[in-house]
Amino acid sequence: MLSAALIGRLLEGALHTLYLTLGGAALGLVFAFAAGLARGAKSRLLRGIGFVYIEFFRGAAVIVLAFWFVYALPSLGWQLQPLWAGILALSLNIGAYGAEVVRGAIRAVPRAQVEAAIALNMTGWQRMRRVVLPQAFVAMVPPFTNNLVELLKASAVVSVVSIPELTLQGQLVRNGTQASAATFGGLLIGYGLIALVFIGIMRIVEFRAAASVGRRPEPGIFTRMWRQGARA
Amino acid sequence: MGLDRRNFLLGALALAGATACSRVRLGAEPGGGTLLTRLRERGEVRVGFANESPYGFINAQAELTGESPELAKVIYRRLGVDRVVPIPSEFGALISGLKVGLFDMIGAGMSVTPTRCREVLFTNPEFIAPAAFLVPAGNPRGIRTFADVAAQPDFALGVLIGAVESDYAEASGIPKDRITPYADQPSGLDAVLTGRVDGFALTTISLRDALSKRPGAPLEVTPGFIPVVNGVPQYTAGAFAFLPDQQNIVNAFNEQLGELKTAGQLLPILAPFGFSHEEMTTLTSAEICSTPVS
Repeated sequence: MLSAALIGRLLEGALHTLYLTLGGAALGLVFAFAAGLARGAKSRLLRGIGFVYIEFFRGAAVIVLAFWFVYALPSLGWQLQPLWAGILALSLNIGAYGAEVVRGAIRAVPRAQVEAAIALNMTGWQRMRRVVLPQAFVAMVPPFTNNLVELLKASAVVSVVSIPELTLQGQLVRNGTQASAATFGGLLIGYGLIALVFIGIMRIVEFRAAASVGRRPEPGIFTRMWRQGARA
Repeated sequence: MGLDRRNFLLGALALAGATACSRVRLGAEPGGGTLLTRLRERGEVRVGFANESPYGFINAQAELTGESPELAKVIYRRLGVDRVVPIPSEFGALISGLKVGLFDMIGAGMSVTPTRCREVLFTNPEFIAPAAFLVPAGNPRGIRTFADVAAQPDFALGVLIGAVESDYAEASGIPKDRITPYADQPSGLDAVLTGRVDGFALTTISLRDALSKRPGAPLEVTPGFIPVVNGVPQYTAGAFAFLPDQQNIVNAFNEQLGELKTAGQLLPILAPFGFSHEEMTTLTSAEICSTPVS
């Protein structure tokens, strides 16, 4: 069995995985909205920038980006701390995926809504902020949840730049104890649990986003089970 | 202007950006470098290690141990630097990591090779390690050397990513497509165990250590040998490595290491990790660095 100190090491790894995921998600959300809105902008230049960002970073492997930030960037005279390099690499990549979600959700808001807002003499920015985005956001949340879980798992690959996250700590522990099955089994469960917590939080976000535009989303499996339990 | 949500977020981003980057100077320091002085002032040294038992690994108390960290702790105490901070790294990324300043020194029992001598400055070796193969029990393919492997065209060989055995294997005429690199020892051991490769090449020390952690595995380690490439014997000698401009700290390190060797104090430090008299050496890194590159 693993000693308490080794489990402490794994927990420290889980903490770094959380830093990477939450940092990557926060920064990625900024990139996603910036690029997603730019793709729908009137200005050709903005649309072009959004297009180049999405196509470049959607295709760039996170592991290569992380390597580049840590091992190649210093030759230009700048250095990123490995943790930040990891967050930046993850967020640039997931932001490009998220940008397409943002663009798609905005386009999916019925045209009549925009026309009604124009009729109310709203400016372009007011239409976006008060009418389009609140409705689009409801549609964004489920694919964002996918992206977030994807990001959590992608955070494992940036261990190659010496970030002591869960997978790297797992490999250290496994090498010290040779307990491959126990260690990797623990990692599987660990990632699964973290993902479940994220999914739960995103469900709450989804409910609140839907409620803010006067909708009620389908109750999830846990809510239904809880209601049935209450009824019985 | 109050601290509303938007200002807070902008502030947080700016702060993150400011703390995330720092200017880095990769130019060489003149006059043999001042690393030792800087380490003494800081009171700690960051050592890059490769998670390779018994050279550097995490024990059951979750502390970094292994021949390289234990020796580094002794030598740095003698040099007046109290704390050794371990930084885990992939073996293949150790030299890049040293170059961009992720750590001050490589302490992974890294083999001194003429090619690596052009990239980093090695201390004198703390040990030599003959090469060997991890094979199924009974050594069914009967291999002893890389030439034996080259002679069997269907023999799949595993190596450690970035380790010297891969170069020796290629130089001995084993085509690249028969050599599979593995990220660490347990993966190589698992590969032999599951029949993905027919043998896993590494040093006697590493292989015996890996096998000792899987008691009962139907595997064995072949007798050690010194690989010969184009008539030149290839000594696998492990040493610490510094940036090329830091000759001063290397000299200080070599002096302490020499004293430990003369006083017979080196072997007692390394013995708990499976080292014996056979692995002790008086070779210098300069001798290995000057051998012709094959």
